[in-house]
Amino acid sequence: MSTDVKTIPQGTEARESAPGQEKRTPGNGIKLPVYMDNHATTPMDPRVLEEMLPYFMEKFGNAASRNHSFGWAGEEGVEKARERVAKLIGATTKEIIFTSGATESDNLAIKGVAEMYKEKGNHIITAVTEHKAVLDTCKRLEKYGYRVTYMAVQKDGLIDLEELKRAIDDKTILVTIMAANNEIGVVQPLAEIGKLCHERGVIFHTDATQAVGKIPIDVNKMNIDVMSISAHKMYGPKGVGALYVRRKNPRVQISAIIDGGGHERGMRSGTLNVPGIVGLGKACALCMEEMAKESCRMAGLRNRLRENIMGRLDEVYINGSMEHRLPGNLNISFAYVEGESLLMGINDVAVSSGSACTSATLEPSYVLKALGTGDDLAHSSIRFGIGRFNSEAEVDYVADRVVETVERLRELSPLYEMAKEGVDLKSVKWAGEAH
Amino acid sequence: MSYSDKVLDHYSNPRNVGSMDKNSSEVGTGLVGAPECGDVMKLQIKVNPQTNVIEDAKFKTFGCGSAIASSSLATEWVKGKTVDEALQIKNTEIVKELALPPVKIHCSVLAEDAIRAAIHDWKKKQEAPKPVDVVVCWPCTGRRQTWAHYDSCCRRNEDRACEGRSGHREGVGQDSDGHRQGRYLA
Repeated sequence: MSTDVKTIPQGTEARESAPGQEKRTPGNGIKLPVYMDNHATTPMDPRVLEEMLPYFMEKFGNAASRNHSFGWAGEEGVEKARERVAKLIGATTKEIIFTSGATESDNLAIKGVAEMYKEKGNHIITAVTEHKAVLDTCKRLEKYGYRVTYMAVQKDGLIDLEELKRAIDDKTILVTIMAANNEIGVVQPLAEIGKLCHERGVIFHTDATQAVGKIPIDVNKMNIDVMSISAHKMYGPKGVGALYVRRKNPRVQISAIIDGGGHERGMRSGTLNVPGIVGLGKACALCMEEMAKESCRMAGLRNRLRENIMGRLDEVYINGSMEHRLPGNLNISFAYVEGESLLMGINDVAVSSGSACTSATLEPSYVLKALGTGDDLAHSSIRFGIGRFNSEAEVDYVADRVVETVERLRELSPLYEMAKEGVDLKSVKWAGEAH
Repeated sequence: MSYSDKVLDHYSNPRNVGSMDKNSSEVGTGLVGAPECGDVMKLQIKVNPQTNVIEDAKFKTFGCGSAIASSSLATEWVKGKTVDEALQIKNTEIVKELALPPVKIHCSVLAEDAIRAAIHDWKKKQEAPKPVDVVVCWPCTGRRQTWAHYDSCCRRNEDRACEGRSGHREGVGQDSDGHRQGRYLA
């Protein structure tokens, strides 16, 4: 599942230092470049890789080959993974289907429910801050005659439950709201949303790609009916994910979008990616064991980064609620400094930006726009994603690099100059404003 | 997308960063772009009024690395050129020099716009009516006259009514010799 933001390239040229600085070889065992973009993807945990390896060359059988030990070995690996995934989210094994990733899971969930329940209604509710995998799928369904409500979010990024209540009508068949946002890390009130949907007889899907493994998710406590999961966001391999589909209270059915043999209870045909699935299972097992301690550590590192940066710079703004947020996420706008130029300056740190210049479409982040952040601050935003393999020393190094680069770029910035002179930038008639 | 060495160089070692006095008549200031678009360039030139040669240039940019590099390069290129020569600078030349990818071409366009805007601003300042030394001399011609006329005609009358100043005296009245104080041109 890709995001619209990008990281700067890694390579030898990344070692060039900014002017006035000696070539940097920081102590404390920091390896450059520092990776702090764990919402885009995560490095694989070595224990996950170890678990996967036998399934490439020794236990390589097709899990659907019922008649020989090679197939049985593959199947065993898959079923063990299925159990681990189910355990992490409080589901049963019959409710887990494996897919090629969360994008496919989102497509399957939304299109599958829409198709299956089309006699019941044609109204779907989602939010403007959803990932493109959900938004684009909804757009496609609109072409097929479905009606989609894209709910706005509040300034802190959270859904207004009263508004959701009002939006649900007798034709609503699905509400799809992500558990945690990939850009701003904001966590939605899943239990309340699920409760509301169940009261009204509407299916609740959540894209939990960024949340599973980082914060506790229980499909029963949170009244979740369908849920998308991705391996590569939790130190597992890319190209594999899962979809949870509730079997009881109520039983939810979905139409397949991929036909060809009826694998995964008829919901997702195709030969299973056995090594990938084994990896996903191990990643889930590790998260289950380590989540409590790890999320505490992540939050500590994140807060350290935030205090370090905000204590040394003025006019920096956090995007999204700090209270309801993933422990490792920080999204900050640095006024008067453009995001991509900031990324270029911290070229030995991998993070991403909501700036238009970093997206293929030259549009600034729509998530930040939805919060009501002005376009200028959206262009000035940086997303930090702290993960399992980041250290305190790395956080301190990143903070230093960010602060010095922001200070340098503010010297270069006509907007900073004007602001210091007391000009109200909002009242200026800009030459380029026509579009 | 990776950056060309030239872009990285201009970004790390930008040329001519700074500001000039925008009120000076020798300085032209171009401010283009908008914060909502993620690109704002301020480019200033100092022009020798006799030769029309751009003697100095300064810039400040809010924008990506390519935008910073484009405007830094622009200040390098305009220095030493006359304003007419500087108007010939095309964004395509900037694209070529910095090896900008297609998605960054608009940065070079903005830099070209900044050069033009600075020159336009400077030109406007040159065309502004300069304070003119005039005299109003009713009995002689009833019109504004030059100092030369005053010297040859009115001053012989030693009359303060015809005293010309560069546009700051105002008032109506008539003296005994029929010379009037009039409004002076600014």
